[in-house]
Amino acid sequence: MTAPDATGAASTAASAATAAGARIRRAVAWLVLIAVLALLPLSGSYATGLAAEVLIFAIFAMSLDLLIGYTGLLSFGHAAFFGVAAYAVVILGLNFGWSGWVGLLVGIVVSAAVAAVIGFFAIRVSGIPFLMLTMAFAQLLFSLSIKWRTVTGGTDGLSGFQRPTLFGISLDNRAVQFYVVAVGFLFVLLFLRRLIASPLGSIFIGIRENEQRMRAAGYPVQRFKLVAFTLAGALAGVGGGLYALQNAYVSSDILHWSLSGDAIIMVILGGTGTIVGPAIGAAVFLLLKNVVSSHTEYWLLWVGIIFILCVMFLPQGIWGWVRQRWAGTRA
Amino acid sequence: MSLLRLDALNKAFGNLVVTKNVDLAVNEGELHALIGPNGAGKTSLVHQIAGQLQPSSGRVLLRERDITNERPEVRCQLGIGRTFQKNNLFRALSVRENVRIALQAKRGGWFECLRSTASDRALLAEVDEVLAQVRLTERLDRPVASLSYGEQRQLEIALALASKPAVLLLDEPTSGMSPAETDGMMDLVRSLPRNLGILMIEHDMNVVFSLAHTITVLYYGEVLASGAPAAIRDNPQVRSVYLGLGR
Repeated sequence: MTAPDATGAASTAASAATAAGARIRRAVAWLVLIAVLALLPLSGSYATGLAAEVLIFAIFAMSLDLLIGYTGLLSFGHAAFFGVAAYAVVILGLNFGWSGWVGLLVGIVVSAAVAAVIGFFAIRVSGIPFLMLTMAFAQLLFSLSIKWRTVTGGTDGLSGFQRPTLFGISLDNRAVQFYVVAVGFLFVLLFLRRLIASPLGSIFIGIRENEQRMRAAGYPVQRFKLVAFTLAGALAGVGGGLYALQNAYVSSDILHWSLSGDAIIMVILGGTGTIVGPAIGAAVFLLLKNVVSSHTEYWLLWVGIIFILCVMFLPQGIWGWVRQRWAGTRA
Repeated sequence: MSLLRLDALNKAFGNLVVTKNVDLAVNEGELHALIGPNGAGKTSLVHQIAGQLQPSSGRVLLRERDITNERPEVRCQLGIGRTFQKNNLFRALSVRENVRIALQAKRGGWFECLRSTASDRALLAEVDEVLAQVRLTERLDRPVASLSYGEQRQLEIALALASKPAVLLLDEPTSGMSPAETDGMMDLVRSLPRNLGILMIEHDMNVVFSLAHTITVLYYGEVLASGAPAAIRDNPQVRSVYLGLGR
């Protein structure tokens, strides 16, 4: 597939051929992805669980990249939206007996609503103040989850959530769990692809590139920043809701700022401003965590070293680098 | 009725007065040149018309509608397009994408927010039309950062035209251009739609006197003289403070 196109062909034919080639490559990539996801549960319970975790955090990181990479908003409070949806699923299930499916939908809506409120205040500033404000709001929710013990279980968290069933099979089954998460992942991946190729996606990119020009071109920039923030919050809520379904447990850890920081690392590792990059970053981050932490408790040190090397030598991230190489071999 | 009218506009930053009691009008089809020495407050005036800067007092009127308190994006939607003195583009994006983003602002609603832009043929045709208008028809898929400086100046105008303005504010369209590029830019400005009202800041007197219908001379934020090119050329005050100083 990497063979260069035959030279000497008429340029229109060549460009038509590359367009068709790109379409075929894309179709093959989707098929391979779906096949890998479909076969993954054969790899055993541990690997399947890890893969589901990777996909959940891939969703989380991809949703954050909508802000960091596409709209140019460096948010440091993204854990808030992930955590709120996870809490919603578990709390609704435990206290009201609501099915996890309903909880998932409600969780996404609640995440979007919380993002809209936080975003409403945060977008009034930009740069470092924006970063601090988003982090402060997220820490506020973190404190709330610790103090409001009757509802959130405090630092002990909430356990005893009954996973819902799918076509009569309980999500207690690891493979079913994984498939549900995989469908969520594919949905978010597809949604982001469409979004970025749409007029709305162009507006986000325009804001990242040049806010002043966007205003002069007639765009209410503030309103669109809030749209991006709310959308990203809702997508993070998809990840958080799936996290609750997979773990059947939630504690204040998932609202802590360090999770927001992890997500930023995932995004930068994989490649900001790309759709797939953050998913790759999430995979690398979690694999490192799982593999290295079984050998040494200083696994974060290794993540740190790799992160530093990545920023120094692959400033566009792993996926950004792969894409550049790919383009280079075909030019 | 003037298309654009400034009514006793004032702007001061502390003790520094950049705009002092400026009255000015641009009519439909008129090319109005704004000249004056560096620091005369020309760009500040354009900022106040387009909304990047809020005047201290006075009014900005578009078709006699007061837009003094509107935000830049609203003024653009109402019909004020502008270029910037320093190229102010979406540098990482291609030429086409730059124009497409600017065009998009005037169309569409929420219902098509997830529609693919690549498949919107009407929009893409419009993009090509605007680019033809500014004579940028090559290298459309290259990122803007790879264009020559002069081509970037042309794209500046394309972005302003894409918002379908009634009034076009050109902030030194020929600044930093070679003589050949300047000639091309003059042709381009001449070929702009006749019904536009244009307010153009320009330092090149050759350009000003061959294009402008009306010239306003700004001096320390104040209107020193305003009128037809011939009258401005013969105005002794203008000659002493500005034209006589060379350039």
